[in-house]
Amino acid sequence: MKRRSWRYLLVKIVANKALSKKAFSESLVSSVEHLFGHIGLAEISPQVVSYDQECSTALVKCSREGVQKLRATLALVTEIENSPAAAFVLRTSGTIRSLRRRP
Amino acid sequence: MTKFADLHLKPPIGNPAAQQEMAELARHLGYSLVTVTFYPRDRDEEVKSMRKTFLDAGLDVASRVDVSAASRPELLKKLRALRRDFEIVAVESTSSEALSIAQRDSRVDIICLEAALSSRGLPLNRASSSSAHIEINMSTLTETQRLPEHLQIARIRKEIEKAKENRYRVVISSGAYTPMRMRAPRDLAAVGMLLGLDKEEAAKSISSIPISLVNKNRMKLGSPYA
Repeated sequence: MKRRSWRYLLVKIVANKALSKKAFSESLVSSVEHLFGHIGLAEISPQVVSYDQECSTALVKCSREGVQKLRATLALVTEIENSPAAAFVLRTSGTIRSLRRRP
Repeated sequence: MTKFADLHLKPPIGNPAAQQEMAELARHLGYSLVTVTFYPRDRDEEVKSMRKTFLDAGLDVASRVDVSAASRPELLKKLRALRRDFEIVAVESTSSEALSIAQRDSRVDIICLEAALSSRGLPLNRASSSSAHIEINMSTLTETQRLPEHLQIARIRKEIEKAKENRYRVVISSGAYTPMRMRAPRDLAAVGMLLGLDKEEAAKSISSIPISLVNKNRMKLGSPYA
């Protein structure tokens, strides 16, 4: 069986209040499900790998085929935990190491 | 390296802090050109100050005006008055008469798609000039909720398909009036793909198409824009 390919996205979150990893993760999953349904959620498989509360950045993992859909989902996010928020994808890569390495 | 452009930023005039934040964020997100919406009533000092803020952030800045008209004579009058003062002229109108004129008039650079959601759709004929562009504003998707979301998306997809059939070029922009409404360029392209553009079209809609539109207008208008 062919191994599944993943992509990692460095996401910057701007919000009016401090957000936790759990809040962002739940919001992300619910947004993907809202836009693409259960099947889309399974295909994209978004997961928050790590979350830096200080820098308000998150490392998000998704399937290679689901990158564009995840980008679109993040672009359409306007609130998290009933507070205005926005998410920007700063970079994508096939490995976590290269995302963490580049300035 | 690909250059990206956001053709519709609306930073609050008279609020230097917000303008500064938007300029820095635009630069950080990878934009090289932004188009800032001004209004004919804005004072010269405020306009100059805002331009300087964006220029100091390392961005190329173009000026834009959004024209709204209820009738043909009103639209023509506004175009006559405003065309030479702004690098981009966009028409946002719900009047079918005005939209019909806008798509044929070479003084109009952009027709805003938002109008289609409140009327029977854009009255599009075959694009008669190379300056005909249809604009998708992110704010249309995130804020304008006249219809249920799935119907809104279906309506926009239909309009984009119509625009493509009639050889209109599609531009995607954020329509941001606060930093939180701005979006990264490739994220906007991804939304474009969701709405019916293919990968290449979506990429061009935030890069080569808006940039060439601004450059072409600058050449036509001459200095001080060129």
